[in-house]
Amino acid sequence: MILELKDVTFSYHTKYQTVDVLKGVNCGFEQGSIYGIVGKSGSGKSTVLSLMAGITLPGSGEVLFEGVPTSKIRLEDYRRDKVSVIYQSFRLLPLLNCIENVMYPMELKGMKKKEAEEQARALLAEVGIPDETMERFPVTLSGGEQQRVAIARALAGRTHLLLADEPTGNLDFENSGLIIDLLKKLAKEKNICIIVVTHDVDVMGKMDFVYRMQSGQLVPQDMSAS
Amino acid sequence: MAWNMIVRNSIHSVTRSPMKSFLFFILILVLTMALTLGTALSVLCGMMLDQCDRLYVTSAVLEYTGGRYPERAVVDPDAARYRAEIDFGALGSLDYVRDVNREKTVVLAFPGLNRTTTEGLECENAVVLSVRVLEKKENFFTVSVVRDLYSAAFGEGKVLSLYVSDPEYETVETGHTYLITGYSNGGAYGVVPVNVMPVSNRLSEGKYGTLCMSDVTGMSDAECEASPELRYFFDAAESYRVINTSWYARIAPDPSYLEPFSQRDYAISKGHLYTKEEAAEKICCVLPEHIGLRMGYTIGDTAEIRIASYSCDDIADSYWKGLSDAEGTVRACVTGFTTSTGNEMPLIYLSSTGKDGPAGFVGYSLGTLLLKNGLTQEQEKEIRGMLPTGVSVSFYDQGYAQITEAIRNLLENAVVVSVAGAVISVAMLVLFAYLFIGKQKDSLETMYMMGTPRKGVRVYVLLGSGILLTLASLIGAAAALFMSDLMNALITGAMRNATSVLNLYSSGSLGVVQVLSSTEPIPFHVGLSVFLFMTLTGILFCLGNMRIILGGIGKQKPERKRKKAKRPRKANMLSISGASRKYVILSFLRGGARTWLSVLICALMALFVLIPSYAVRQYEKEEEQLAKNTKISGFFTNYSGKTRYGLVLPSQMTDTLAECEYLTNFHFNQSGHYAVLSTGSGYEGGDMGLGKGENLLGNLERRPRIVYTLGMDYVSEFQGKTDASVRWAPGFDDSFFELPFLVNDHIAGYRGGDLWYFYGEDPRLMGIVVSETFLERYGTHLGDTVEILSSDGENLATETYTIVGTVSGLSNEEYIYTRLENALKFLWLPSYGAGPGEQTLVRFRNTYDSGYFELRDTKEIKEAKAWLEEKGFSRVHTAGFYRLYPIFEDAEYVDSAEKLEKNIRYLKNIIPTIAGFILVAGFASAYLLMNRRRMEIAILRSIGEKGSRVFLMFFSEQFILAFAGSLLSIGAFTLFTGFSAGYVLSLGFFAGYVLGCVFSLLRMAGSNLLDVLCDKE
Repeated sequence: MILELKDVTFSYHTKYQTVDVLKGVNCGFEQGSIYGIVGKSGSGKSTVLSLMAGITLPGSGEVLFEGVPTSKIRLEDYRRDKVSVIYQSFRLLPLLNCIENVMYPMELKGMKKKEAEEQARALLAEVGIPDETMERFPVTLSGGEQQRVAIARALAGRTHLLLADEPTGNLDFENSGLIIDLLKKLAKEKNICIIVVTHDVDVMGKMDFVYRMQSGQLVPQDMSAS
Repeated sequence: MAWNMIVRNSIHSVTRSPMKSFLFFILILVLTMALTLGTALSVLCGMMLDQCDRLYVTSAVLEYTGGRYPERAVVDPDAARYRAEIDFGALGSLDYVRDVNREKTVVLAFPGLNRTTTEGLECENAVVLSVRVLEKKENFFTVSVVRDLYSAAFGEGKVLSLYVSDPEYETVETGHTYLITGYSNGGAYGVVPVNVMPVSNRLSEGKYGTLCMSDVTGMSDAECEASPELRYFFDAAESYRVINTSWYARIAPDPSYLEPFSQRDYAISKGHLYTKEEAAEKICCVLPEHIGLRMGYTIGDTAEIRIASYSCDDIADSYWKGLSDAEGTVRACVTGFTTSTGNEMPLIYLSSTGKDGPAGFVGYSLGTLLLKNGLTQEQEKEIRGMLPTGVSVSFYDQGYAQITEAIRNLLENAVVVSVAGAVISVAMLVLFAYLFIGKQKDSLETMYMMGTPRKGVRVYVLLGSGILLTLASLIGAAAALFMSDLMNALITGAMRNATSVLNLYSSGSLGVVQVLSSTEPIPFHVGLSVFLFMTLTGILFCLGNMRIILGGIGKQKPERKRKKAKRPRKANMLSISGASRKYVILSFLRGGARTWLSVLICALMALFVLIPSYAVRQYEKEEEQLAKNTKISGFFTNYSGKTRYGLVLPSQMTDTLAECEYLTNFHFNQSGHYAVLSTGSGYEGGDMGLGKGENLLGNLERRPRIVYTLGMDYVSEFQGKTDASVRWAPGFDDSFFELPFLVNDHIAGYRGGDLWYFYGEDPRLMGIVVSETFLERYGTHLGDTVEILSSDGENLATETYTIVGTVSGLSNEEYIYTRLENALKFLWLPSYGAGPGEQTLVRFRNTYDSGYFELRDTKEIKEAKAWLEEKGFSRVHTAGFYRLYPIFEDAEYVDSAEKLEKNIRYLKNIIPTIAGFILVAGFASAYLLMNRRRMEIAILRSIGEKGSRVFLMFFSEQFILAFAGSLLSIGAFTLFTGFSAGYVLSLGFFAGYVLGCVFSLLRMAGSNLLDVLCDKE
């Protein structure tokens, strides 16, 4: 398993109350598959994603990446080298064009600019961004295009774990489908473990495995019924 | 670590948002420039103060106040005594006294040259006489000379008329014999009234002009000489003899030493003042004209001058070492001649071989103290207290106090501006950090979450903000460094304003000797400091912002102890159905801190202006009260801020003063305690009076100048002027000038037992001889009558005089020749009281003891001073005859008023700045606060609210909050203080706030709704 959650708990503390979002989550994820995490709003989906992304650490329990707890490694290195994330709001760097956005994680790892550019172009082409669009700035792109660029950027990191937080949340039905299909294809072709957080039923239907966030637990769903 | 990529992206963050970068660049540049200029001004002011301390000299001149000021003085022997009494050692030991210089007196003698001569007198003539009173009529006495103790110029039995204005005259008895002594005025010969002045104030208790008179009836000459009380008269005679041969010199190796403190105008009439180079080669001298004339010197001649005496032993050695012969005679080359006007003190300028500064007689100067700058009033008092009575001290600071005060005021303002500028700069840098870095929150988070190390993000922030800050600060500071001229102009302007004439009259300060100019460039370190301050502070704030943004990411949140859960707040219930007004009210009521913060900020900001405005009002009230409660009076002086004797007040000046609407209650005092000694000549035998060529003429008024004479030979105006001639009206001739000196028609002159009477109306009695110019000026002719204002002391009336002769070729066309009694009548003039009917007769002599006036309205003191200046009462450098300065006794008032005015000025300058600042602050606050509610606005619009109604809802809410805050503050302030002004400026924040709201709302109205809702903005 590339990623495993063992007895993970997490609570949010506010001025008025403490909310126990995760209450002993146990699950595992393999490379080459696409997983979906579904649940009602406020059930803790994004929370579990942020734990997996190394943005924060669990209150108790462990998040293990390739058997190593994230609490034992530098989260910066983890986020740079081990995991990629795509967001509902795309989170592209507005002052960099598409190529530069995709180049960023590659250059971050020390790749030469020219080589990074070539690979960025290739990745953008792979996700379906035409040449004439590659040098445009994100603010001039449509939602679908922006998300594709975000996916390309995520792939640029060459990680084996890709997390997607409601990647189709800002997209139309057609683009949603295309994006999910793209993700599925990439999971298989590049042997990446892709975990998608969504509340979209159609998206859920395309997942290899689905977990439901329920009462603070991740409960596997039987996909054969869907 | 991909530093290249980070650096590249950092540069992109600046270059790819050019408008935003440019605006920030300009903002930081302007702030840096302003801060640099403010700081530079402070530094330059400080440098100017140091320069003033180095270049200005504060000194005190110690003077003997006995007798008259040197223009008409000869040396008073008592001056030496006072010089010896001053404890120069004690003065030198005061910690604020830097140096002490005792004046070295040098007395010279020219072979055979006396002050009084047979041909004419250049200065006052001394008299020491024993006289017997023959007849007494009020102030006028006919006396007969018993013995002349001094000059033998008055022969035994000579009949004189004596006029005594001192009330002492009442004790004078007919038939008694008196010893009298004093000086008589210089002038022409003939039957003239002369003023007998005391040679010393010792017997007169320091009063100027008191006659020295002692009843010696029944005492023999031997008894008189043996009497200790009368010893003075004999000593005086001896003193006169010494004085008569004494000439006083000013010795200096370099002409620049010769006028240390004032512009005494001894003009060079011929030749030139010796140069430094000439003085290096040989001893040179510049002599008064009349000495040159009498000694027969011309330019280039060698004058033989003997050192008669000196007060310091080293004079001869240091100044004339090896240059005088065994008898102490110096041979000096005459390079020029000076004018000496009237009876002015003739001074000989002599070069020297010494390297020291000047030595020799300077008026009655007894010494000079060199003081530390910034002398306080207490220190001045201390010095005055250490001096014997009869010695005065005048302080000169060359304007140091006034000028440094002006610079200090400018420095204070500059410091305030610098501090305010620094505070505003910090605030703006915070804003810059928020807008430049804060707006990149998503990017920074994304970068960080993509795995960019924190230090990488830090470098990104550092470079991006650093480029802008460094460039803008550098250019701003550099540009300011080139504005030295502006700063220097401000400082020089402040100094020149301080030396304006309005400051010249207060408390005896006389003028400013030197005004410096500020020419220093702005020091480099000022620009560097400001550059570093702006750059580093800005970078610090940007990094701080970054820290805030990335703070919560990636940190493990520790398990908190469970608190007891509080009751959750009731969720905001929002009804949107036709609920615009309800929304506003709910937003107001439920806004919590947001609402009260807005109100509080508005209230506080209004106070920022109200408080200083109130302070201004209070100061203005205090100033008004001060002016109302202070009555300022002043006096006239002819020197140095003291009520010195010898004011000269020509009639045209009294006329001018009478026109002044600012001054009132003029009061001129004249104790007039002097005797008028008259001499007669032209009598049969020609032996009457002092003898040919030895009489003096007292000139009592210049315009016209009354001259009384017994004979043309005795009138100096005719001496040597062969072209002077008189045209006589029919029936008149030169006998006019031989008219016996009578005080009225029926008094007999007594000579050696014979009485001499006049009977009947003598047509010469009411005759006057005038110049040809007089005829032209007044359009009269020989033989015409003229009306001249006269008085008998009680009533003023005009009397008719006949022009019996005219003179041409006179040196002074203003002279009128007539007999004494007529002239005495001319001396009465009305003084000017507060209004009609309040005139009193004041005897117009050439001098008054004192003159006073009052200021009508203290508030108009500046106008009064300006009027006096405009009318010519400010001849600070004049050493001429009519030197008359008004001095206002306003030191305390000016001090207090200036302090108040300074505060008022300062606050009035600062209030607009504060108002501007709070206007900007209001705008910025509203803009930022409203911007944070853009989602709220977008949501309302997205659910169907009209744009205009949304605008009105938010605008009205903020308007009410801002208005309430401002009103609260203004209302409370007015209630507590009663102050009801300054509202307009205090509403600056409110105005800015409203503008900010409008601007923000309009901007948000133009933005894409979806983008806002989807948080794309």
